[in-house]
Amino acid sequence: MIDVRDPQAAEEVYRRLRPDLLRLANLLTGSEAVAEDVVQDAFVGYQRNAGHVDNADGYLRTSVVNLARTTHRRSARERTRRVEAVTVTHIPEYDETWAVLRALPYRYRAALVLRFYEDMSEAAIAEALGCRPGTVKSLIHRGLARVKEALR
Amino acid sequence: MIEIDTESVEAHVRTVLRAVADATTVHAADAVPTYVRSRSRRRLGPSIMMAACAAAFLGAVVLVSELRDAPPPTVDPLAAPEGGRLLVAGKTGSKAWALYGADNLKETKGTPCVTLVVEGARKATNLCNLEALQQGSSITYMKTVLGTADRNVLLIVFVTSEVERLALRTSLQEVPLVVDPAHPSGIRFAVLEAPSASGRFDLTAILRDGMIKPATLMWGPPPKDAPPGYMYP
Repeated sequence: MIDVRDPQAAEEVYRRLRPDLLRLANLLTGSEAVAEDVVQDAFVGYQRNAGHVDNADGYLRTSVVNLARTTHRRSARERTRRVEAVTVTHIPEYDETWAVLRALPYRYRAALVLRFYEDMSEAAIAEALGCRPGTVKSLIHRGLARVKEALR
Repeated sequence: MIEIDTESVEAHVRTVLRAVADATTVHAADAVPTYVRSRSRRRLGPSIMMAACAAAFLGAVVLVSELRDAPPPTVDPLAAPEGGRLLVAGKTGSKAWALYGADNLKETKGTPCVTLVVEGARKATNLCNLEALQQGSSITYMKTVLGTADRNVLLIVFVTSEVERLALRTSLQEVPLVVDPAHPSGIRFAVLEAPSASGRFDLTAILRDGMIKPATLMWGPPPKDAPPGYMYP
């Protein structure tokens, strides 16, 4: 457990975890700008509760997943009107697939990201997304089917 | 259009996600939200409120860092805010400044506040709801670069009642803590100056329970020997 009153300890957590959390948030939200906000919010929440948190990594990752979901809901209408900072890999087939993944409904994309990027089990994904493991299995299966169909 | 067979779609998605993650822009942070506290103890719920709080504080830091470039003042540069209580004043570099304690400032949320007024600045910098700002952290600080030639840094350090004394880490010279007379048991302040080029200020905090905590205040560019991906604290 980190002593959040120790600025150096808090800085160490921030420096160590922020890059990976930004990548995860970007994959979940499809926007680098939104990812920055999500990670910032996650750290703010972490600091409020850090005295009760044993696993900063796990806590912050869960926070990012939850915040990405709520951000997605809130900004669904805004997204159509604003310019997003979208990551480009400069590999055309990858960017095409990334566009398909970004267009998926949030729960499908989140399930795919947590399964194939984070390598989480279906049970862990279910806990993170607040649904049953059977639902996760369905989300992954249908998500992959949508990707395959879109790229056909 | 690309062709993917059924067996490889999982592997393809995995590869793409990894590639996108690797291509994600990870800017070095301008400031650590370690020092950012929510403005209220209530659950903020909508994350946009938390972002707003963070942005408000970071904005204040940015604002004070930009004061050095401000045009000539249009108001009395060291005028006290309405109901303000002078806590400490001085001159850093070529700029005179004053720090006031205040309550319920207009266009701010939460109280108590401090107002930093700097000679030559167009407006004062307010930092409010100080108790909430420090939830979970006994020491926070704000910083501003003052002066034109020597670019000295002025640091305003805030400590909770948990901190009994502050001292310079190397010499153990005690740093005086200023009390807002209207809030004698509230947040106390220390004002420090340092050459801008030094990049950091190392303090030691002695807590009331006898513990000793290091507190490093940092500014400026990352150190030259910083590893790739260094996140500026």
